[in-house]
Amino acid sequence: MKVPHQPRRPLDASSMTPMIDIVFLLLIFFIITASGQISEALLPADLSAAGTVDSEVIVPELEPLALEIWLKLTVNAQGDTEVDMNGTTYRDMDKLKSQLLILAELGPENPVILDIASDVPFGDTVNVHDTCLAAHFDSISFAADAE
Amino acid sequence: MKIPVRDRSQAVTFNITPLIDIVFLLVIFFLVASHFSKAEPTEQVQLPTATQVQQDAEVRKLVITILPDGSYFVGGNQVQLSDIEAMIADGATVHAKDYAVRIRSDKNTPHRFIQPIILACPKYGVTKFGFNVLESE
Repeated sequence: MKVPHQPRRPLDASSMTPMIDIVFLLLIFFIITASGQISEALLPADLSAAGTVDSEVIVPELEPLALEIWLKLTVNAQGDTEVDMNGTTYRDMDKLKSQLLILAELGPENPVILDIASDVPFGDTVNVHDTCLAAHFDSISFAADAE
Repeated sequence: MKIPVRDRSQAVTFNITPLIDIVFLLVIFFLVASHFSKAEPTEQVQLPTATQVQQDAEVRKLVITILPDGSYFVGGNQVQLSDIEAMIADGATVHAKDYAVRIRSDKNTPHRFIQPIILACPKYGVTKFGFNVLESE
């Protein structure tokens, strides 16, 4: 029996070179463009299922000794945001931050309630909320007028 | 038995170059498609910065972009507040436990445009809430 002889041609490596060139160029291009993109992060502000709005969730009663820390954000006549914390007004955010850190060390279980005026810029809201998170308060919530 | 002999000038070889070509093209296509699906079309906003940030692990979420003039955008489309409330209601009905709402707002947006969404979320049982920010250095 004669087995047919099939001459094999070696794989032509030179034909793949330009393809690999282009593929690598594209890969590098997309990697660089993806890395240049600004990535957004999340500042968690989980809401309570119960509050001023109707909800079926039963709100646990506060501890008798818990002190509610009300942070009232308003915009003054100069257009700057100021924070009233239980009667004391802070215009300097750094001073407020240091006070919140002290309060959180004394009692992190004290609930913080953010009462934000309608004209307060979102950046200042985030700043104060971020400060409360940094102080490690257990509960941070938003006050709102139920209409 | 006589085995027929076929005269061929060239042997039959499997050319893998076009195969690799197509495979690489598909890989690149899916890489790019997944990249752009993550970066959904959104309006340009100046996000505020924060320190206590984390990566958003929620899959089912409604990202609402709010411009300083109070216009709302979801998925690149301008929507009304009533539409957003309907979206929250739908999402909370279908994915009751793991539905999240994210506010992606300009840092100069007044709070009056954000408050209705904060109120709408617990109304429909959505408690997973957060703000999209940039991590401060």
